[in-house]
Amino acid sequence: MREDAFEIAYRLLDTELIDSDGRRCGRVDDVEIEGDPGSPAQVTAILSGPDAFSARVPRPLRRPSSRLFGDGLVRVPWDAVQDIAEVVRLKHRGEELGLGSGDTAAARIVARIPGSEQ
Amino acid sequence: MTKYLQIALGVLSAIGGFVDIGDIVFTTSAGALFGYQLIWAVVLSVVGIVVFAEMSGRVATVTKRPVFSVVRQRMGFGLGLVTLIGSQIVNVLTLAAEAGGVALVISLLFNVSYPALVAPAFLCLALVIWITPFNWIERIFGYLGLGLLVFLVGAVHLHPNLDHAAAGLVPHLHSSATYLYFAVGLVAAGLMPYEVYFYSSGAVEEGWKAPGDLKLNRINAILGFGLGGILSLSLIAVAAQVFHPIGVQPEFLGTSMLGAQASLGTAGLILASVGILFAVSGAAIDTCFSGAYTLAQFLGWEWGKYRHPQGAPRFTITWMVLLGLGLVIVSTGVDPVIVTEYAVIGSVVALPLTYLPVLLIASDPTYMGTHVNGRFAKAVGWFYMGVIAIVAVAALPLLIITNAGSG
Repeated sequence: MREDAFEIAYRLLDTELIDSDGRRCGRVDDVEIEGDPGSPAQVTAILSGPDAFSARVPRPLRRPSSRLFGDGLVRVPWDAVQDIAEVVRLKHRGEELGLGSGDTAAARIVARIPGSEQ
Repeated sequence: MTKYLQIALGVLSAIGGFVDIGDIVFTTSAGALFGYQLIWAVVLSVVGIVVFAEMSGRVATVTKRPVFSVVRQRMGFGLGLVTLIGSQIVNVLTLAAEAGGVALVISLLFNVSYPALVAPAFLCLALVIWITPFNWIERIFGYLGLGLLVFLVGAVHLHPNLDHAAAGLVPHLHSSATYLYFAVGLVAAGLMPYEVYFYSSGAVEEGWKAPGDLKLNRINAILGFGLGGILSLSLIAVAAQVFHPIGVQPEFLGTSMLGAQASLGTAGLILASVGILFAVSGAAIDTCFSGAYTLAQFLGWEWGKYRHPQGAPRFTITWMVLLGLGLVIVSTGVDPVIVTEYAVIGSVVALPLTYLPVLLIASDPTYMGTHVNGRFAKAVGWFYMGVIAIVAVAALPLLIITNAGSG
């Protein structure tokens, strides 16, 4: 169930994303929040990918982090969230949301090794 | 009922994690140098690893999240990244040491030159991981690693001095820096973080579910690591009886095997070699998977040996790369035993950052519901955080002062 109010940093940030097929497809690396000063803010999207987490590390570490993990950012609209429990479940398949694309590239390499499909 | 016999995960985590090359080296050296005086350090580390393995297995069973997922969740990205980098460096060093140890044991068994065996040993490990399903890896390496029980038989056969052994249960903190170095080494070798990375990920791989499998988790943690502790104590006892009186300072893995030969003859030597071979191979596989588990869990990739290689391709590529890095390290000709010592001492950096989030999540009713830590588990957990903090602070200075235990 999607709750209306919860602690974002405690419950949402850094949680695992699971798509509608039950595949792990990333983490909540950052959260997009909209709202004007003085009025209630609303979570509008989950951000996932190296660009999102590299922006969160202390400044001197940002460049090494993006060097190490590469770049890329996927914006998952809040409407695509099914529920938040110990993981964040999504309503759609990861591919449809643009998540887990690194696995698609890696799968092509692994497919060349004999016996990779058993 | 058969579920209660499924302790292969605990046995492999313990045989391949607790009683790995680092533990074999440290216990044999400690027994040879100090007799029974350091038994307390082994007991301290066994109880610690049982407590944290049970906790991490319980968290994995209840929340479906293994340790590194919890590390990222609770410590945030920055501290999580520090833990990841620290534990990956230690993991690769340990992997190199264990796989080098595999080559070393085979070279001792068949009297073949060691350098020629390094690449084949890594190739064999890669093939085993590629071909064998997870539950068979557990069974083959966990149960054949039980060949190490020969050290228990050997220890009993040598009529250990029980008075000295009992006296060794009490720490003597007034002693030399070398003594303290080995105490810290024994505690650290027993608590190496990759053991809980592997164990908790294994619990998820096996699909353990609360509340039914919580008992299974407890039995695995207590029996598996308890057995590991008994084997470590046996190694100390054999070394204390055989090497301590004559003042041999073991520097080679082969010395541990000779201890079994001294008490039980050739059969003892062969059984000990087989036990060490499978325990060390199991540890190589443990560390290899642990490295891939931690990276995948930190970044939210699909992971798991239970998915076929194409089902978790980045995970698959990661363990292959780690194995390759291990091969590069061993190929430089560095002595696996030295690498082990540095890996064990280096692991203390990752210790607090690994075990603290496990303790925090296991004590958090939001995540754990009714399976949250009780007062006793919490108290023991915080006691061990204290132990870990002391070990973490003391390890590096002691390594430098004692020149890695060589005085």
